[in-house]
Amino acid sequence: MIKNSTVSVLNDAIKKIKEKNAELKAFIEIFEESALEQAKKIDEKRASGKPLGRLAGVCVGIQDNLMYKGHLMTCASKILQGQRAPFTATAVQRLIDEDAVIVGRLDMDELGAGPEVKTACADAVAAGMVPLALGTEAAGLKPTYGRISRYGLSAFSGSVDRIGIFANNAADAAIALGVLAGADDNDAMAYDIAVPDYTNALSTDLTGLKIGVLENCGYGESLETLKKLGAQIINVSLPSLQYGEACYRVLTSAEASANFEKFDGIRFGFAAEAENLDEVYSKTRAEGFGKEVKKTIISGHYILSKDNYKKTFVKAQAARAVIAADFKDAFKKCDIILTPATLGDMRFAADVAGLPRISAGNLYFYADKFKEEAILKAAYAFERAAKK
Amino acid sequence: MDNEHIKDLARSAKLAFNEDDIKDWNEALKNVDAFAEKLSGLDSAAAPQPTERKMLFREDEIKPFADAAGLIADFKESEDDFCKVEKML
Repeated sequence: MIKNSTVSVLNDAIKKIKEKNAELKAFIEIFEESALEQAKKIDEKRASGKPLGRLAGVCVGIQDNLMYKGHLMTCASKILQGQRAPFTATAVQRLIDEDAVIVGRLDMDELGAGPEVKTACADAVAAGMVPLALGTEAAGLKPTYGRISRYGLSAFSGSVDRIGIFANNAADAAIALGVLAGADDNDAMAYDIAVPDYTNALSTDLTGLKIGVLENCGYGESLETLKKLGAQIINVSLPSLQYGEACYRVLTSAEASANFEKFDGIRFGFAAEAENLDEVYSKTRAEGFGKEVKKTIISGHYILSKDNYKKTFVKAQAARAVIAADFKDAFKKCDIILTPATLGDMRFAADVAGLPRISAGNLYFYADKFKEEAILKAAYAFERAAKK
Repeated sequence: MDNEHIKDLARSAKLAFNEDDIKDWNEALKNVDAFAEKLSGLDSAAAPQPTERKMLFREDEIKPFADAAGLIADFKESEDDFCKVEKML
């Protein structure tokens, strides 16, 4: 919660965003008018002595694939040019309900389809433009699949999509997760599991915490740091890790190609000039999608074609089950698994298994499903130790 | 990869294309083949297998609708026994 006037906090944030955005290009749009309106309401609430929400006055950036009613939401794609959100995403609404201020939308890889180069959420927070951002980029805190409702998140790959939290530290991420997590009638995959107060897990004492590490990973001095904090380091193996990327790419391309079928120039955003209906579809899609998205679509159609379906999609689904079983075995021996952030296969494998992770420095901490408290605790202690 | 096959995929994906696109997509499909090759090395016998999907068809049959006149009357515009909808293009 911010104790200063929300309007002044917002004005400072907007000034900073404008200064830094010329270089970073993290924000696509600043919601100056609606943000100011929100900030004024929060200040009125404060002045009248009403209780304030857990995120009162916190300025938040949302990625361009999250709906905020009446505001543009284009997934950084021409295909959704001019498209306004018809409703507000559950995650965004939960922020608003806790008196956060939504200041603008952040850039992303077109429709989330790669090539995984844009890091606007992480950049905006790291540059101090906003203390909190929501998005689907790789870094930050990625909670368990189904921990945060995806209602109002434009779908890329339904079995993998998760809204991530980007904050300056694990403590802030813990507060935000407490606000965002929980069941939602509008998303059947948002699990109805009690949401703990994640801040209770934050501690600099890791005594009793078992951290699994993989062979041949460059951990540098981080293991020594974690041992000094009381953690026990255990070797674990994940034999199916090598299939992580293949499994992820096959499943997400197939699902994304199906999800993107609806973008045809009739209901959403951009429509190309054409002579007949078939041409409207094909020209709109050719002109509206970028290169990477088109590759994803063609790949998805190829994967789902009769000749390839079994050896790609079905096999990838089986790989997903094997990967999940490997993780289950590993988490019998340890509470979290630590890897360098550069170990891409681990990230892809954890994504298809729906496991939570958090980035801290150049490391990723992973845990079993719904064990976010363990990774928040480890990341919090590690961040504190690294600052000393 | 046969270019005609890629063009068929593009048509099924409702994507207009040019020759540069075909080259691009050829590369993308080679990656998919490489992923399939990689996955073929996985022993997934113990993994739960997806159940076979079957398409169920039934014979089409015309059933008279009880209140066709009422349905047409509910429409903004109608002509003879047909509802009129707005032109899309």
